[in-house]
Amino acid sequence: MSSSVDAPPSDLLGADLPGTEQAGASALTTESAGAAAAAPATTLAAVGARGVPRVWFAGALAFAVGAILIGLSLGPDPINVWAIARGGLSQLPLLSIHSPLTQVQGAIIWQIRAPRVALGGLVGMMLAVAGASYQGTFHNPLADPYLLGVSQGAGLGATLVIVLLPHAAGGELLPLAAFVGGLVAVGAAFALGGSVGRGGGTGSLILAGVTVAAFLSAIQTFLQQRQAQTVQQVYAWMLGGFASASWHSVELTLPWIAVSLVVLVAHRRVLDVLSVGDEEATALGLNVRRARALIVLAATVGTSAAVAVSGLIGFVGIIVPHVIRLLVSSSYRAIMPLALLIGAGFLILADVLARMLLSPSEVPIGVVTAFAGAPFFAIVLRRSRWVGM
Amino acid sequence: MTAALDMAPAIELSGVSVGLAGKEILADVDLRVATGEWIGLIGPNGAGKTTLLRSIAGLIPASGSVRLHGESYAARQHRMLARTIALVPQLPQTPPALTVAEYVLLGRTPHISYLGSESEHDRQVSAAVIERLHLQSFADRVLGSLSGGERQRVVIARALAQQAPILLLDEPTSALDLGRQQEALELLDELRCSEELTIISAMHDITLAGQYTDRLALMQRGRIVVQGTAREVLTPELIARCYGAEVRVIEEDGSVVVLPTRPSRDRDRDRDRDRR
Repeated sequence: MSSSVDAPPSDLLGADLPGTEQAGASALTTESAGAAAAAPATTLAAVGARGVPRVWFAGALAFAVGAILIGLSLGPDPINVWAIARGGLSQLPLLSIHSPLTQVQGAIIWQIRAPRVALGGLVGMMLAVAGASYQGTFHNPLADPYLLGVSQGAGLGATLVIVLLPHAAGGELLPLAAFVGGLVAVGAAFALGGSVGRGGGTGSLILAGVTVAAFLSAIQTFLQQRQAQTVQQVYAWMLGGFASASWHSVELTLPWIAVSLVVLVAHRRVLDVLSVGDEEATALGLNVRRARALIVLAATVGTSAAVAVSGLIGFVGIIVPHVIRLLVSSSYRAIMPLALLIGAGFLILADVLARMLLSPSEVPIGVVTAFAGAPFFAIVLRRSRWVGM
Repeated sequence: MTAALDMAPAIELSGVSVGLAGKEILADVDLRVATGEWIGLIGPNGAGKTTLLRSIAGLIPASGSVRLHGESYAARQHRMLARTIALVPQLPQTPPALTVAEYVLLGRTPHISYLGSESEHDRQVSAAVIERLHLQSFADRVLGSLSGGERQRVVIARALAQQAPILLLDEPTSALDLGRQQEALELLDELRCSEELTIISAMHDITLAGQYTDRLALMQRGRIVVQGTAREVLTPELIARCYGAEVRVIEEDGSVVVLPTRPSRDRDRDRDRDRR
């Protein structure tokens, strides 16, 4: 292959298939000429994004299912995992499997542990997916679902109820106030950030979020300190956890979280486009402001619903997406589906530890997520090469 | 007259102005670019080259009229515009952990619905572009592992995957060494012919700009001072006026070479001669 063949002009514009016989034209670089000679005529039939590698998907699915079984099995009265699995299968029609579970065991699993596992899974999914979405839209590896003030808004909402309406604090008003507080905070941040400078840029939005969060946090702290007798209750809510989980709390949050997850996972390709920056994404034909507004809205609705029933659980939204980036891929086509599974599994397992470690009293789940998650993340970080987002 | 010249020009700017915070960055720019033509934008730093490219690409609001293939694009959507114009910015953001194949595939965005995913056709077009630019051997490498020259080719590949007939490049060679500069410009010239592209590129090196482009547009303080062939534009007088640089212009092998001279050294030499 000493002389380069004159290739017929390939017509990429409107070409349906890769040009045949594209021998190197005159401007071939020496590097790729060498590479082409070494690996002759490797015709790429089509180029794909990596998506989720099957092995990782299977692994993540096994992790999530395993976490669910462990969550149902462990407790003051441990129940054999196989018995649970058989009990579950016995509910299916056409399979004549006899459930080995006693009535009490069935009640423990179905009434106490299952809602807790379900809620933990939902919240874990939500925080991991929302964290990944925020990191993508704000081009910021430190972004978490609370970046624009959801936590402070929800905290203020909850504190208002606990301090001003102590008798209603046990009912549905508390999660509702937290939910609305989170939405209002991010709404305010978005309104402020959108009216600053060129508007809607990531920098101005983050600064607006910090401003709103600081303001709401000031009010919340003021209220909390004025009513010293409720400090304990406010503090317990903030630390978060699933001690009060019930099927009712699952019902309350499921619709919001489900819609939010569907919208965010559907944006996985858009998040990849956003990774080239606002200007280039716009030049690629993406309406960046609309995309960012939609993603933030969906993430905020879901996160607020999660916070309303579980308080503020840190670290999940940061660690889960980054573990996936480091181990699998930094394309959101891989991150989003895997974050669903791993986020759910991680938080279910953290909750098992939270209720088992000092049983019968509970360790705040945020303590568990950070205490168990940080060393694990440190190992992953050391073992892999961080090249950026 | 050929058929191409009878058609509406690929790009026609008239009276395009851009103001930012009361300051005029582009003033009344008129420019016609025929289909298949390559125009080099030259001029000192801050002359408005980047702003002109960004306003053509619809990234900043501009007054005046921009017509592409005879159509005004004020009414067009971002997505339709991105099917007509591809932009290679001076410092493209290349997410370091994305693979070359994934990055090139992003170029198909204007052809994919908002929440849709790539069709088989999109994947084939990307594969064809990767092959066309001889990037097969590193299709699976991540962007962070590429050299400057390789990365530049990958960014051009993403722009080509857009299949837009108009290509705008902002300083496509500024980060490259001399060999990589020539390589990139040869590649663009080749692509211009094979894919029938119309190109506008802002360029720092005016000699290279003159060698590769059909026409040059010399900008200064937001205006196009003069446009024409390299021989018409690259004169010592115009360069002195716009760049404040002292140069000699030599014609060598049919291309115009701009040779900077050192004013102080020339003075020293004159003084030495006078002493003798």
